[in-house]
Amino acid sequence: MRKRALLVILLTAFTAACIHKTSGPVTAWERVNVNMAALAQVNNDVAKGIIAAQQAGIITTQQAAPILNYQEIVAKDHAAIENILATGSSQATSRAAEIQALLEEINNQGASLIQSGGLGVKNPKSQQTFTQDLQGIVNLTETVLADFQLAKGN
Amino acid sequence: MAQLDAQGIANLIQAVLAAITAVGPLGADLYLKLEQLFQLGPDEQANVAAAIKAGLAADADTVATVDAWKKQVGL
Repeated sequence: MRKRALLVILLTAFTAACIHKTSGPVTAWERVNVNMAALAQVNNDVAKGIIAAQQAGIITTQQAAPILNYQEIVAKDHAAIENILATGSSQATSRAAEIQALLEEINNQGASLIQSGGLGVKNPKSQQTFTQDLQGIVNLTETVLADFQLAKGN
Repeated sequence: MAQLDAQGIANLIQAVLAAITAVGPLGADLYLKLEQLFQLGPDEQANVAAAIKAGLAADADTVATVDAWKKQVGL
């Protein structure tokens, strides 16, 4: 679990830097969309990891619930953003405030969950693991926010 | 020489299996998905469409997985 969390953090860094294109430069619009997809994949992986940890008895249902509630919010907010992005870059730019608000909600709620210690995990190693997992999602959200600002400027 | 090559391949497979074991099946699965996601073709529109499709599929799976878990544990 801890190793998986470390992998998530490594992949977060990897996400920000390692998008490759067969020809031409990666555009800002491509970067926004690829990092958005990566955010959804990481969120999905972390949710499955938390459920696996609960089912293995590493954490209780009460400890897993707030984290999974957050991850469900991430998935729903993320899907809402994807549906806006699917309408095209011009339309997305005109709805920039809405996209930014959804990304900031993901970011702020993740940060609050980390800071609250509401994870309720008594095992210090596990607590660090879940914090790192969530921090990976928050970091990716910040990457997408920065990407989106760049894409708006283009 | 052929034997050395075979040994080299065996060592490589062992190293890959060790890496996959270290991060667990979820980690390996995530790695492969992200690697696929980060390899873009020449067409921007196709790249964006593929990314959006992958993102939405992951979101739908997350919501379904969490909902199924909630039902399972009685939340």
